[in-house]
Amino acid sequence: MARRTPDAQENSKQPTTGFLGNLHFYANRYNLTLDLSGVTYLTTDAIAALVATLVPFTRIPVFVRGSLPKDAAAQTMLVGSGFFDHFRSVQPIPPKLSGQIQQERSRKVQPDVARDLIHWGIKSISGKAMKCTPAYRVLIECMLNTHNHAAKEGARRETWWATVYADHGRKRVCFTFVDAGLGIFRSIRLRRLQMIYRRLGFRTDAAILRDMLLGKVESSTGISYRGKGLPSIYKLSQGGMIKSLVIIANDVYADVSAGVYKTLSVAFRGTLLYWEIDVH
Amino acid sequence: MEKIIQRIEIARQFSDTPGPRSKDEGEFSGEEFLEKLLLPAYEKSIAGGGKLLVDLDGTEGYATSFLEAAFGGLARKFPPSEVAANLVFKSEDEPYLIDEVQGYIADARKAAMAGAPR
Repeated sequence: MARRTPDAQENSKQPTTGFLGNLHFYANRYNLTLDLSGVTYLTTDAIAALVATLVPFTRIPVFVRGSLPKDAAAQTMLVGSGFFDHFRSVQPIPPKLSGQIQQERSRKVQPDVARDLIHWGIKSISGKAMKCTPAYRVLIECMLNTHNHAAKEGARRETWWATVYADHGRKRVCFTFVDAGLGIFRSIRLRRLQMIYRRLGFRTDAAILRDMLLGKVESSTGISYRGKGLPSIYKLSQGGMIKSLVIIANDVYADVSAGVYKTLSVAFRGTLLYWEIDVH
Repeated sequence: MEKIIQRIEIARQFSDTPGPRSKDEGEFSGEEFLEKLLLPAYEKSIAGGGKLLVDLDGTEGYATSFLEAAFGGLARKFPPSEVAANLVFKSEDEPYLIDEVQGYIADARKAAMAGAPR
């Protein structure tokens, strides 16, 4: 996946979140057949979001089938991502090229999975499995957020999906972490004044996300010494230890590394983080 | 000269994949580390009149929750100033972790003064 400019990335996310919202609506009611034949450009974060959105609907009687993109690169990306491990295909699937994309899912915080994903991604590029402490921190923080905040109170824990893509051309490992849970802004705890500003429309969720990253919004637990995960991810991004950090949650799109925070016209169902690490 | 009489190597003695905050969130949590290793070693070092060296190196990395639960947690059981004075850290892999952990110990003091749950 070539790195896109922040503007191009943000513009492409608007229709994607709308598409995912429509899919969720229809999958709740009907059997779906996804016609992906016209897809010419596909990224691992979009596939991860697609899988997280639709997998809850793959049980009988609702099921989802997908067709293959005609575009060779998009087809390779979709097949290699393991998309068809979750969905039936309406046509024969070509063999998966190994060594480029790895995907895991769980409802728990799984340190061993975080380690394995990182080692796999780095080994795919450098030939040697190695650790990357910043990527490990981000993965564990993401798993914790999903475990603790993504589900409605009393509901079963949400599933998270983590996808690792080894971009050999740029010598970068690209991570996508996604859940289709409540999303950051339906689970945060705001001070009364911030809540009023938000309700009156004076304070957007995009501005609140920026405050959260700066550690200015208290944890949803209300305990002062908690809620340090997002600020620590922000510091890693600011320090250059992770690259190209993007956060999409509810109606917010943030290209954190580029300092771009936007309100989406169509909200994303859940939370998605994307980041990259250099492999030397 | 610091007299170190206890030493913990997290990667070797606990796990090279430290996990979440609490035991109910997943394996190798900060809470588990506090109970199994940190607290007993800290008590021994205090009883012996020396310091406890915690070696943070060799792991895959740390989530903030693990570090806060372990070291902030210790500072919610003992006076934070005493904890800060009696712990020595080694972190060559990620030198910034030492400041971070010391911040959690200091924050535990503020939280205790504000009446946060222990």
